[in-house]
Amino acid sequence: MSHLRVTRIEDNMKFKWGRKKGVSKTDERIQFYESFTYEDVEYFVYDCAYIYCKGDTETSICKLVKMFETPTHVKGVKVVRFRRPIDIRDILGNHNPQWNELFLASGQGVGCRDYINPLEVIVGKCSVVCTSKDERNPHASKIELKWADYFFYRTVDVEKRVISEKFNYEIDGIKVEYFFNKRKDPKLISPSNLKRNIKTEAGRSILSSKIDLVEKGGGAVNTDKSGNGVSPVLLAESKRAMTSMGENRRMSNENSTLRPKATINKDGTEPGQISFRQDQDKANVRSSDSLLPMNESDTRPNKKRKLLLDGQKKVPKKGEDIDGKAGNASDKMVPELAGNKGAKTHAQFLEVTRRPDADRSTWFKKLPWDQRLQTAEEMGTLVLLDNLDPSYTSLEVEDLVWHAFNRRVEAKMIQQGTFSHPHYGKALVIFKSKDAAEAAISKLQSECLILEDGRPVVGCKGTLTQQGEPAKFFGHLVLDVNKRQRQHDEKAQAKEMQELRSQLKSTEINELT
Amino acid sequence: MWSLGLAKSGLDGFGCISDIFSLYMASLSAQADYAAFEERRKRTVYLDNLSPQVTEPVVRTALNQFGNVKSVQFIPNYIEPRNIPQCALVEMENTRQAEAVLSEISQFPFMISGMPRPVRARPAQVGMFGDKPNIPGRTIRCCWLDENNPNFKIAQKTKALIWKNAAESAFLQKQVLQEEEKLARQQDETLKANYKKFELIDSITLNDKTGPADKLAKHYDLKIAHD
Repeated sequence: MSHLRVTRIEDNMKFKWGRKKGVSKTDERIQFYESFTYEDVEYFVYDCAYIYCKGDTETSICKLVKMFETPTHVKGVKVVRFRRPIDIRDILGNHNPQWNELFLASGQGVGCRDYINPLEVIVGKCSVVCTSKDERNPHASKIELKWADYFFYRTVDVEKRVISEKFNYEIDGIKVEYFFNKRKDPKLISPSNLKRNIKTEAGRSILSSKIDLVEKGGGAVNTDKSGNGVSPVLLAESKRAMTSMGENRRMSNENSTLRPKATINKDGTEPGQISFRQDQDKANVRSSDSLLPMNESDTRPNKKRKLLLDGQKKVPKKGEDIDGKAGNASDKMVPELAGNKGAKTHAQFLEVTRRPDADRSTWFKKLPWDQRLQTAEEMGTLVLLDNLDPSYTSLEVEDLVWHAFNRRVEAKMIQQGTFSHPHYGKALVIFKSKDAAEAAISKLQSECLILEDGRPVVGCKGTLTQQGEPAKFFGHLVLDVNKRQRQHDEKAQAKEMQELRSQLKSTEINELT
Repeated sequence: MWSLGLAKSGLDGFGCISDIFSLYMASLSAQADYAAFEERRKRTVYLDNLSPQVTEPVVRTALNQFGNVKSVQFIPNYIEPRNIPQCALVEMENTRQAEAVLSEISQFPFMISGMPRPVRARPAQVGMFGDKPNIPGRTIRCCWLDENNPNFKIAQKTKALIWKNAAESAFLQKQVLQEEEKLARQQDETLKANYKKFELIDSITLNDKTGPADKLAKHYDLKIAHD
């Protein structure tokens, strides 16, 4: 308790205790609480948060297990820490944890207990999901996992220096259930609660982005008087993206049951808005269109595209909404979507099947692929396709080109290496003629070839790596010691030879040569 | 199921049934293929930062200490800059050996063919294989969007983003290579300077007792020991 200090900063900060929980058994003047609000963020008991202690090099992540105020008005939190893999690298051994994996500290000793901290060590919220297969642990959904900052399923005993997948009954005197994912608490889905959640949610997302734009854009311009050339639209948009992301994050922290539904809500409402505005006036269409690509660039482009493309498919999902308010809103939008957009938007996906005479290509023996690539590059028949699914096979790409361009080609996926993007696949395609290749490239540019998951394929002229002088490899330093040694040796040899020669008679030399 | 097919064949015509049957068999074999490939992937290690001089036998001998190397396949570099390090897929005999390779190489700097630049190892990913089989049961769909489609603009923007991304990564890659080269040059210079100093020190104490050190010793009437 020695490092409990009251600082002046605290007075200035927005701080509010939430519901009282009880008093300490040992000292009745110590008051425990269930939650508190600190710098506009509400923390509950058993939430996860980043904390930063003086002297540490980095923030650490921990679970808030107790919140209290002492009679001297010192506010404190008791935490159980998660250890990052780097903190326990000497214990890790053969375990290869993922970058976002954490280990729950257990046992006695530094790194688990004795972490009673002044409240101001808290930096921000953090979402940590437990993926343990322990039956006491409510299973985390895929979406939860996707949104979580970190996950854990192992504990590390800081005292015995052991990593284990088993969870003891208690960790640091806290029932282990509290460390697992939160149970779906029926209390949280009560109507009043829902309404409140949805209201904030809807308030942010349904609010016409045009108004949003004007307001925020205006605000941005005003505040940004330095005028560093950032367009207000951009600023507003990035703000919007941030708030919506923050919103999601908040939801995920607050309770796990609500969030997936809320996301559907959000996703559902956005395409709806667009169609609505498109019908209303043209000017708005432009603004919404210019906004959308920005959304594209945020975290889940594919998902959104999918929603847009087959909006019809998603419509029934909205019906699942329990909440009346959101349900109404989406009901209003359904006819709009189905009536006006449906026919126009619903893209006709072409199914790529095996090319009719695919086997013919194996009739003749061919030159090695490398040589064919070289000649194709010289002839200008080589095309590089980008943004394919990396799991496509070369044959699938050939079929894809056959269906999209009606051309019979040879294609090979580029094997992924260190420098290739893990989510984009590239393929080298050899067309039969230069015209065909150029036509394909220009068609890819002027129109859009969309794959099923919404990614547009792009293509350009293929240029191969220049062969020629051997590749340099940095990191290998060579001293020409050997060369000098060799020179030295050669000199010595020459000397010896000369001596030998001088000893020999001229006739013998003749014989030798 | 087969007997059912035979019994029915009299009614429906044998061709139809045998078609379905062959399709069924094909999908089964595709699944088996993919499962086999997955197994192979799991026992394969991706090695990176290999010198261009490293060849298959070199990798084999280097990794045979962790188990049996079944095959080594260098990933060809078609479109990346020339000076990137070589990378290879090394198939071990089983998953356990592959894990051993991974953990050893990630814990200790591991050099192949005497290169002071340690190699890196990662578990192999599906995209790294040139001969991966189709994912069974997957059909690819695609469609063309023209200008009238409401999503056309979005797709165009995404395409622009892809190009931008590609340009940015190419630029970064170039920077990384340049930095590597700079560092290598610096180290080379230090190495040469140090070597020169040692040579200088060597040259004053020549073995045949004619070097400056010996002359000075003679002059001051001192004794120096030669080793």
